[in-house]
Amino acid sequence: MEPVIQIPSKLRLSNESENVDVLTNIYQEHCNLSVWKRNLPASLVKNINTLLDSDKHLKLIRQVTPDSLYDDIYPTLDEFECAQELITDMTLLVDMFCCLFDLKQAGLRMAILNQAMCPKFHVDKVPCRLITTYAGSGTQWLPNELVDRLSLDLKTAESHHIAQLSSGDVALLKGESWPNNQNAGLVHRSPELKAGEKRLILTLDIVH
Amino acid sequence: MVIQVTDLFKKIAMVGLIPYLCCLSYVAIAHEHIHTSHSPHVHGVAELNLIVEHNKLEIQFNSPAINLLGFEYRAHTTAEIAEVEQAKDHLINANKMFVFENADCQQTAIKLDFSAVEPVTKRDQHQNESQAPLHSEVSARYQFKCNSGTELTRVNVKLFEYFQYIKHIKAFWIAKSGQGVAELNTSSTTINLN
Repeated sequence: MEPVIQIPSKLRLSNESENVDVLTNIYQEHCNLSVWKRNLPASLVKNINTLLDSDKHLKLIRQVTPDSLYDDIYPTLDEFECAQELITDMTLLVDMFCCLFDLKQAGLRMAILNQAMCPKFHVDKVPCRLITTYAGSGTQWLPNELVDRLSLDLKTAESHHIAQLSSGDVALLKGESWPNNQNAGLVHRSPELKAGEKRLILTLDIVH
Repeated sequence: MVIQVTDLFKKIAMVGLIPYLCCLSYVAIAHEHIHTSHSPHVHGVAELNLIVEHNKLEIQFNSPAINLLGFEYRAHTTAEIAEVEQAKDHLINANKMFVFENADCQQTAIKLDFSAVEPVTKRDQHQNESQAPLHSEVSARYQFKCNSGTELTRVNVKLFEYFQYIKHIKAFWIAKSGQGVAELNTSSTTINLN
């Protein structure tokens, strides 16, 4: 008989709250996802949708500081009404991320997507990544107790167990490089997009 | 050297090829099997397989496409196609990707496989318009011929410098001295082949 290989399951939980302090829960060993639930201002949503309705291709990969962000990003967005408000919000997130992890800079990726960046469930070999979807469908993720760690997919094909972030949510996803988090990183994927649907996403990585 | 039951050993054991490790051609077959084995999809992690036999060195690099390109679908915009070409331009420059210490090794062959992310051609559309690629890995396979007067003992891997989303490389190696696994990251980039 074939030996059955199993990876011991570690207890990992998600935390979510409308209180921004929830993000600090990521330091708890058992937390591998913390989500600050929030609604973006209607004006920002409207103006971002205008950006998405344009033919603008956007893919920025930069190392940024809270102080450098405006100059780094503004030239790319200055033709759009959302620029000022969006960059102000991004600066807040970069500042929070750098403060939370005691960083001088963060690795920023910002993109308009019209299809799933990676449609397969996966974990990231990083300590922690911040993800927010400013517009469009949010990142999908799997509750830890339902994950088969060998295939990095659901143990049973019950797709209703797939959880999904909402646009505006600010999520910290703990990865495989966080201390004592091997085989316990949050399993997630980009959502499938319908024809014509677009997303505006921002991710921040730890950079030393 | 004490040979441990390494991940490499387990992997090769899975394809039942251990008896043939002394023969490079069979090792090459092992390569194919290692390469095609289904490992979980971990972003930020790539894999290297190195085989040294006499003055020949073969390196296979496998990575989720996202580590090199930031996406895992067929390139379709001009920018995405340019990113695929840039990644290929980096990888094809073997002397920039790998620095061999104590040995002079010259590249003799290279084969890149970016088929999972190449733009859809008219022929693809004709053959199967709706089918997405079966996998989202890219790979590069290098062959080198090394100066026979010296023995290759260390390989410095430079991939981290060109592809910032590669955070970790698992390097499986087989050489005259034995076999092993090296775990590489941005601050530890050298494979010691002994």
